[in-house]
Amino acid sequence: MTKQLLEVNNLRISFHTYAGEVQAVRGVSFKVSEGECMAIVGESGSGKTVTSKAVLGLIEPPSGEVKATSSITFAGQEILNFSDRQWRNYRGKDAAMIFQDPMTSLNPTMKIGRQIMENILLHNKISRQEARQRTVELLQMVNIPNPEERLTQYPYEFSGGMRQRVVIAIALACKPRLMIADEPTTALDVTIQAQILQLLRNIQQQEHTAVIMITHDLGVVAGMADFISVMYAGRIVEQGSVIEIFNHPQHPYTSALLKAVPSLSQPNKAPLQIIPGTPPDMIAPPQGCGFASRCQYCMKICQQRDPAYTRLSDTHQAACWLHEAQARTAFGYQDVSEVFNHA
Amino acid sequence: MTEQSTSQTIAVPELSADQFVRVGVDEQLSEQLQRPSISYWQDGLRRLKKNRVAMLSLGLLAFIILMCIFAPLLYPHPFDEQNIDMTNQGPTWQHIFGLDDLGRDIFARIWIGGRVSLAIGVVGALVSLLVGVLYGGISGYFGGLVDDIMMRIVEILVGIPYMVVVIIVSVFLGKGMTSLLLALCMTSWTGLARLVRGQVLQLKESEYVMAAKVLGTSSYKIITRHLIPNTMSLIIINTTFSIPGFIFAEAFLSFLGMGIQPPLTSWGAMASLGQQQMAYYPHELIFPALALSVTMLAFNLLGDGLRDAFDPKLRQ
Amino acid sequence: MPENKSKLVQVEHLKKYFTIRKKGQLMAVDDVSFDIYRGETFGLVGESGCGKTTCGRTIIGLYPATSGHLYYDGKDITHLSGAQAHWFKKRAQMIFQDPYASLNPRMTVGDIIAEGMENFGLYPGARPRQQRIQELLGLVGLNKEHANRFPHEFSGGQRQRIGIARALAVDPEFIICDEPISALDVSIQAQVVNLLIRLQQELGLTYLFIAHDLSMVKHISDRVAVMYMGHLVELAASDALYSQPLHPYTQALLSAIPIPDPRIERQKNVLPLEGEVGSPINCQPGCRFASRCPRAMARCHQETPELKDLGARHLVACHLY
Repeated sequence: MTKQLLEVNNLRISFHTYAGEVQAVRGVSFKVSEGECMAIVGESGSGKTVTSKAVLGLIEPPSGEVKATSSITFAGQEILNFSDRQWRNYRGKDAAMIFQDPMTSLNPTMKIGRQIMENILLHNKISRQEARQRTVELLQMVNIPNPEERLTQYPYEFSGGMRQRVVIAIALACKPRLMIADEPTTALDVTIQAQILQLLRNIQQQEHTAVIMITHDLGVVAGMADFISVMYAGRIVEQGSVIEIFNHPQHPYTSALLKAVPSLSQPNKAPLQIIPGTPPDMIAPPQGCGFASRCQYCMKICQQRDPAYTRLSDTHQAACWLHEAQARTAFGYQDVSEVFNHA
Repeated sequence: MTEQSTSQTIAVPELSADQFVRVGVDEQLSEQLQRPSISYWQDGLRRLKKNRVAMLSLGLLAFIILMCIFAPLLYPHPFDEQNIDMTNQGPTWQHIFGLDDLGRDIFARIWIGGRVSLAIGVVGALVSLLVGVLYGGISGYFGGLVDDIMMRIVEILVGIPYMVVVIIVSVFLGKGMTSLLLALCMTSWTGLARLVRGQVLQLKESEYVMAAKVLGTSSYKIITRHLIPNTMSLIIINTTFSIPGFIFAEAFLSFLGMGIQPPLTSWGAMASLGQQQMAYYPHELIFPALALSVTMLAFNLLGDGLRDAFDPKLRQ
Repeated sequence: MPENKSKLVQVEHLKKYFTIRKKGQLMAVDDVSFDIYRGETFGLVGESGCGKTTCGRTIIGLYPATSGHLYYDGKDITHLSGAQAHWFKKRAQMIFQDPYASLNPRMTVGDIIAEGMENFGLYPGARPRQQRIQELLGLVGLNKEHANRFPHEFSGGQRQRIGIARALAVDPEFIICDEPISALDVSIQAQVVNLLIRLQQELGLTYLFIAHDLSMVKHISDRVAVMYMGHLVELAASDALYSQPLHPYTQALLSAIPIPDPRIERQKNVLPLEGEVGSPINCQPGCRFASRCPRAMARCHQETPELKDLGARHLVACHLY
């Protein structure tokens, strides 16, 4: 049994803008255990990045507001009440983040050796010599050739993939227990993406680090994630193990997302199954289910009330009215996947 | 996995069967935009209005401008009327700001001088705006050799101190407002020209300009519809900041005796006179200096506000 | 592609070099030849920096070609000016990659779409033009009220559809799609691809589809060409290219696509492709992939392989064949 590391409960985050309050995250709950990889999948504006930022305490008032009902515990400690000093200590040492764009997440005027060492020295009481040694080890770990030489180079001397490796090395500098990767491969080419994913997978296994991986592309997490949370319009609509999500999706959004990517065996130019429309603007969250306006199985009830979670297994749950007994009788099916496969 | 999990089915009693009717997707509805429509300028104005310091500066500037226009018409003492028997008198109810060493009313002179100072600031800024935008725009848009030659000329102009230009121009045209303006305008547009050129060089590579080229849009239309509107905010901000520069340059030159010639006056010329009497009659220096500093401060603060509201780099 | 189809675009030995100060020549597109037939979708894939975008921009005339020839419908379009440029621009259009940078933020959607119509004097008069704008918005699945809105009010997918409507406004026959979906969410990508396919069928369009996402390119294209550091390394019908990739680079590229199935993905062996794409600056003769190629031979470093037909119109540039 693995030990639970992070628990997010009923997280609600709003941003205050000129047009009103944008409810970016509306009651998100999940848990991550040590050494586990949890993927948060959703499209832009679904609240996935905001959720991960909240875990690192990066929601800045006055425009951003984490609602009082929310709770995030890390290793049994409530982190939303942290003081500034506690946050600084926690970031980098306990939890680290890998950003999407390796071009902007490194300081262009600092040698990369210093950028990594600085982080080590900030959180550990060790000599510069030891920190340097550790830096070389880290660069080896992320497969950067000639690390001794590379230490004295500037970010512009690195290619995109190499920079992302440096960003990962910085995140790993203090052996964090939790690593958040926000679309780590979106800005990279496919062959480089494969290399970086492989690297993240190896590190996770070697270091036993918990990883929260944020992406809009389900394909990317198939090889890496243990559990997946699918987010839509500020809520988690389905949550389950990677096999459950990929092989038995129980929410129309998850199912549609899986079908939106053409497989190489599919006939060319046949229309892809699409999710019509555009995600709702969270300035006026829909009254019922957030996905209702784009869901081809939408019923009247979906526009009126938000569905609760239906528990499907110990690890699997989905929030959809199709799981309601009355819907089953009305349309005559046993399992919701029957409905998805019919269309 | 979470507390919200319930059992296999959701037990909510008051659901009726007719709520489980499929309605499907309404494409029109799912493409609807929720937020009110707001243009770039409206959005910028909204930010500006929320900026108290900038609005206060704007109010102050409006007050100063109105006073410059109307005060000399309504105030009983003309600016060139002399009271020989009351020279250097301090502020009284009759002469609010007192009199100067020739017995002229300082309050009246402040607003007449303000006319000159503000006119030089605004006209100078407008001329340098026109020349700078045109010059920088052409240089940036055509690029290559044209750009190289035009920018070398700018560099040479930047190298000439404007004092030298002022002296040369006043040798030919005589001292006064025209030669002052001419000399200031000849050298001051270079900063804006460089700024606009940089912006245009950058925007020229943007995808929407490429799209316009592919659509067969003429160079003239690309400049007027795509490039200028997208540099406009920076131009306005820069111009607002340049007005106090002109006012100060005029004050400086008048202070040295190379600018406005009596009987006409400006804040700089008044400060120059006041400075001679500073030890005994400080009011003769304080009032014009105050008018000058308050105006410059207001323009700078307004410029800051405009930048916060309109600069694309500072917007989220 | 059947033989009887006519060639719409012919690219012959196209070269586009950029001069870099002190460093020499960046050979972004180096001796590339291919034809695009009327009514087909020609896919051009490769990693960033391979020259695919430069290739597209040179064809449409945004960059002047360094050497080589371009023909459109039999006419030489390599260096156009004046009336001929106008003629070509009415026929060939482009859809851009970044839905945020490709729309002028100070113009309303209606004005953006109307720009091309104005340039060519199409649908004269305010009424017919308004009607056409609304028609185009409807065609790409947007509401007609959207004409008065500004680009920043739309989501990425909606903006990309505005970009498509802008290109369609001049009734073109040939559209270069420069990575039109790479900046979009997966759920939105399918919408745009479906729209492009539907428009092609309804309006008889010809596409040059430039992308780095191989699965989408396969889906939309009839034929696909693979580029690497300015060279064309393989060209074949899309089914053939994906079922039997011949060039080692194409093989590596295909094996790197993540498969959305955890069981396969966890067992999959990614063909080891070390290193990254370099910049083609002052290249010497030789295969440009040789330094990363697992099957490179001595010859690959000395001699540039020619693109040759291995039968069934499957072309590959590799010394292995």
